[in-house]
Amino acid sequence: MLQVPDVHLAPMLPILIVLAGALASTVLGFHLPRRALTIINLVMLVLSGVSMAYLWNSGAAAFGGSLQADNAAILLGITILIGSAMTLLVSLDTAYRARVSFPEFDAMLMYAVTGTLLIAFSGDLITMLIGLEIMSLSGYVLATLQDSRPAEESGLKYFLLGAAGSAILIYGIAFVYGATGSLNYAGIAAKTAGLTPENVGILVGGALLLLAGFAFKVALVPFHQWTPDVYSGAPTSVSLFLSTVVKVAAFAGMLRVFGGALQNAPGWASVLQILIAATLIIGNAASLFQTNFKRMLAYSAVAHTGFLALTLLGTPALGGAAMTYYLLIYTLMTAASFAIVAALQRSEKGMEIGDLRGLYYRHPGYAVALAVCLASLAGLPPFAGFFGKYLAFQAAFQNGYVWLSVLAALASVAALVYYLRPAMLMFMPDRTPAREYQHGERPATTFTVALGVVGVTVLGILPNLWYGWVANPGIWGALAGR
Amino acid sequence: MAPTAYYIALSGLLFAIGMIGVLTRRTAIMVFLSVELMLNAANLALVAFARAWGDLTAQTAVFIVMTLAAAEVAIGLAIIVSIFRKRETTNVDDLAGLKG
Repeated sequence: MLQVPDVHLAPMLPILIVLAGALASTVLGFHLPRRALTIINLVMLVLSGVSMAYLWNSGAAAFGGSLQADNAAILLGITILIGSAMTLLVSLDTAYRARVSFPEFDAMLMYAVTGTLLIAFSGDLITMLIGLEIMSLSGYVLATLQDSRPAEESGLKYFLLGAAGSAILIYGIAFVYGATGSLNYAGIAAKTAGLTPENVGILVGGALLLLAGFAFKVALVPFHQWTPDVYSGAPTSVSLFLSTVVKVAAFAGMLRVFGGALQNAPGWASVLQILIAATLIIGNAASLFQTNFKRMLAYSAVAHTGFLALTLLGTPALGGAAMTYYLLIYTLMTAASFAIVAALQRSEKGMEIGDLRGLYYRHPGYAVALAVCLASLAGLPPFAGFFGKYLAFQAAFQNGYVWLSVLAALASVAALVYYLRPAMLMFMPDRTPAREYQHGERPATTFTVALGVVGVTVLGILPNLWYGWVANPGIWGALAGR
Repeated sequence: MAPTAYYIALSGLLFAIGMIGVLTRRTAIMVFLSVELMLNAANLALVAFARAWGDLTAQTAVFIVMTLAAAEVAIGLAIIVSIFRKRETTNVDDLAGLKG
């Protein structure tokens, strides 16, 4: 009997709108200046957000459950859109200084956003894989786009290690399929109970391969080695994108796969806690010894991966809410920090930490904003970073990972040292000539920084403005779909 | 009909060879070819498991993985060529400007 395929474009609308922006940038790049394209793309991101608001609570799915626009997808998708919009705004001011002000920059960025949204909206492993590859391939191009030796080096490192990570991930998908006979999250989740012993072995192997593949993408130790090199070699606006949006999407994929499909599969959680412990120790310890501020932010991104991954160890109801809250806060504070670096750096190498001395007397607004972001990254109350870390520790602690939560708390104390040292330097008087770019304060960057600073402050004092949306356990109970 | 385990053993072997290549080869092209070997190992495993389950979804997944591999070749070779033009080498040990 002929079956009519389950094609509904409405749940796919947020992705299609972003894709339209990408295609417009590809084609119209020949006719319009890049600035016009960036504004078109910003409008597309807003429209995509509006279409997500329209899909809220609809629980729509399409393509036989391969694509699901449930509330979890929408919350993660909004975080992705905010990070992408911040990247585009910063690139308006800084891309020409980095010599990446081409229409291709916008096109690649929007293709990457299409991929990231596809991961958040995925309902089976193949959809997730397609999204992940679209995102990664565009990311490799973005990292290499600047015509300079550091950018090319970072691009090749990112490409070779990212491709190896993808291959491991695909092998993991094959094994999970071999054990359960299903590629669909819901199908895998339904079949993980009641497997024969040899299939359990295959499933554990597949889950560990998937974990290793994802660990490459989110930069969990020992799969993190590309991260500092790529983030410090790529143009700063690209580093901003890679460390926020791409990481959010990779975590969205992990949440779908490990919090949904493999929720009851054995084995992966005990390996994940070892990876997290190593990430917390090495990420924070390496940050302590950095002299370049941009590179320190890269290591801080590794350290935050450890805190974010803690939420995967919690029950999905608690962990999913904690992760989504933390991801938005992480996006806001990291994007604002990188925006300030992009605006004030003289070259794409970023700034030395010593060069920040006396910044308050030269750029008071940016210095205060950077201090707020650093305090939030360090997890100091009243800023939102504190509440994010608290939720992550709570999710892991309540599920019985006591020693890991204690280790994470100790690591966040050590993190105070390297976050507060640049913050203090900025307020010390300085008689030497300024070593940053003098004319960096421009409207679009200032707006991005203000968005980040106001976001982390307001959400720190009134966390329920965002946590109230993500806290509903009903959202996270059906991560695998129905 | 050969048992599925044989195919999986072969794919595991291919995957291991690819992995060793990624870890030991020093030329970007060879590292990249080793990654392609790993992808083909995954494809073989998908097909073998699909046959074992008597199910076609994984067979279609193989086509998608092959397309992804082709896209990866396009982008990877472009990056390698752009590096070779500037440095006349694709030895990954020479790419050590970013440290710390």
